[in-house]
Amino acid sequence: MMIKNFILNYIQREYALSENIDLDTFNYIKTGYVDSIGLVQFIVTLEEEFNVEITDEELADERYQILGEMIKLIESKASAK
Amino acid sequence: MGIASKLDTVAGRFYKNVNRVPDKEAIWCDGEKMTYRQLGDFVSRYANYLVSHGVKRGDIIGIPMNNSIESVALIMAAASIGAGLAPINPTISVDQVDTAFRSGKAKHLIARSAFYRQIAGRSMEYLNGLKLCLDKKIDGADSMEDVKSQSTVRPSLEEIDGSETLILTMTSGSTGDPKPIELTQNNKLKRADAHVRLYSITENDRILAATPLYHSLAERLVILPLLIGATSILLPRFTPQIWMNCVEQQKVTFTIVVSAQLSQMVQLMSSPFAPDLSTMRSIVSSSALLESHVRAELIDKLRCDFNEMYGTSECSTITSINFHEAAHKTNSVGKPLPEAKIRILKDNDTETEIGEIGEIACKTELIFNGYYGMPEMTEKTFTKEGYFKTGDLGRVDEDGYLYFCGRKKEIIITGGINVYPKDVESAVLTLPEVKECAAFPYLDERLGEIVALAVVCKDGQQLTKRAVQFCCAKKLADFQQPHKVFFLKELPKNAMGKLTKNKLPEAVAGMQG
Repeated sequence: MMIKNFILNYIQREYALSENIDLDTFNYIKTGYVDSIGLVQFIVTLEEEFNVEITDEELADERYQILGEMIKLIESKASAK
Repeated sequence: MGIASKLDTVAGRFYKNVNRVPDKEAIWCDGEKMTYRQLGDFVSRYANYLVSHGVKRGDIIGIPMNNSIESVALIMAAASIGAGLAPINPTISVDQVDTAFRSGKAKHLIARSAFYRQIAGRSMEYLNGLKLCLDKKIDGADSMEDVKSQSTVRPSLEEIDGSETLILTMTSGSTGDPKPIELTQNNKLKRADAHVRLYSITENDRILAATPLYHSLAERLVILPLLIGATSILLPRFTPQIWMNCVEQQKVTFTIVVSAQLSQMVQLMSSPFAPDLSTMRSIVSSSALLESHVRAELIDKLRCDFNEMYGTSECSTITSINFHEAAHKTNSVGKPLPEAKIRILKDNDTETEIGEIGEIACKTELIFNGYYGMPEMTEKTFTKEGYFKTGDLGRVDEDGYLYFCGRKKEIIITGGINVYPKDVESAVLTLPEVKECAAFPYLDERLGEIVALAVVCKDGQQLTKRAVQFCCAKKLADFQQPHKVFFLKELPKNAMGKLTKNKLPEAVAGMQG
């Protein structure tokens, strides 16, 4: 829950998400919530906050552009620590 | 005479359109729209709220600004009462916010709850005026309910004469010190009028702003239509697909985009499923020079007037070129506007010969009011003859066309946003392992340039790329993050020991950043 809330707060620094958003389909890249300028800071912030490492392969995988998938990825990496 | 009867101010012109075309669509943003009457009521409520909560003519309101109708209404409300705004990027660090607001002498704060959370516990004693939270009810701040409960009658105050500061565009400056670019209401009006003439903009246009509102380009694009009774289309977030869909669905007719956005869109334009952009009658590329092949493709694919411009936040647009009219000058950024004159200067501020490269200097009616509260700094950037020294290099041909040849000042332009290397270097130098470092531009297909960083560690010390990036993520804004980090044994220097940054791309060639 903490990871999910952190990511949701981060994503909404500039723009609020609509309340009925489906995390399992919401693509934060295609909707522009994280753009190509902001992606580096987003990933690095998650890595530091939860002491995890996101690989280049994971970054290139379009699946992790879905917010729910990214939350699950960080949760699984953090719990494996 | 109360302000309600004075028309030639920013708010005066806007309210004139509220009365003239009340039912016309004034603004669209993210699926929400308002007519001139509705926006006029919103602006009046906002202005009444500001006045009744102690905001006075000449006060500065700090705002981490996003692209929304609320932000546009605030600009007009501030203009209406003679207050000024210091809009900042909502992603910058608390230290950067503090520096920006102090230099802009901000007294009031309007922000979202995330921002109030971010600055909790931080002493910003100068923010002792109004506090408004835009998205939630929180302790210690008013909410938008307090704005909505106000009267829709436009407040009548002491006369606003146009000399009031309207916008402070925050730029850190090449030395890392903040240099707030001050634009008065009169500056904004002159700039709007010049662009209306230059691009033959009319009230029938639907004008798209697709860059952040805390930058001067989007402010110009969003204010201009409201001054002439046209329609403002404001895009909250940019991706090439979102932009093209917006043009099609909102029937956009005119826009100015940053070149990095156009570069990202070219490929999509070739798709058989590309949205229909046929409503667009004129498009302008700004910020950095387009690559020749991208420009050629755009001229081919865009069935509308295609222009490129050169300018700075201090000068507004300096030169413009229409490639259908000047097809043989495709490497030029055009001729000066009627309001502007240019000179190409040698190091001693004398003029160069035709064709010789030097610093581009400009004397223009569209010039800014100065760096806010910094008269000496302002004076230093002008020649004795009143030409603003841009810090860019260029040459002029025998027909008077300007060619951009690079930058004299140190700057990285990523996705149309200026990054000052000094800011990045100062953040990285706080790491105890770092002996020295240098941020420099690295060519990138999508963003034009990205921030690269060369780091030299102290003897016996080691650092990882991740450690450097963790540090930057905390201390810098999203656009300032280094995408590439190179570790070197030493930085390239000349015989005098001075860093030669232009040798850095060579020094890191073949390395994985």
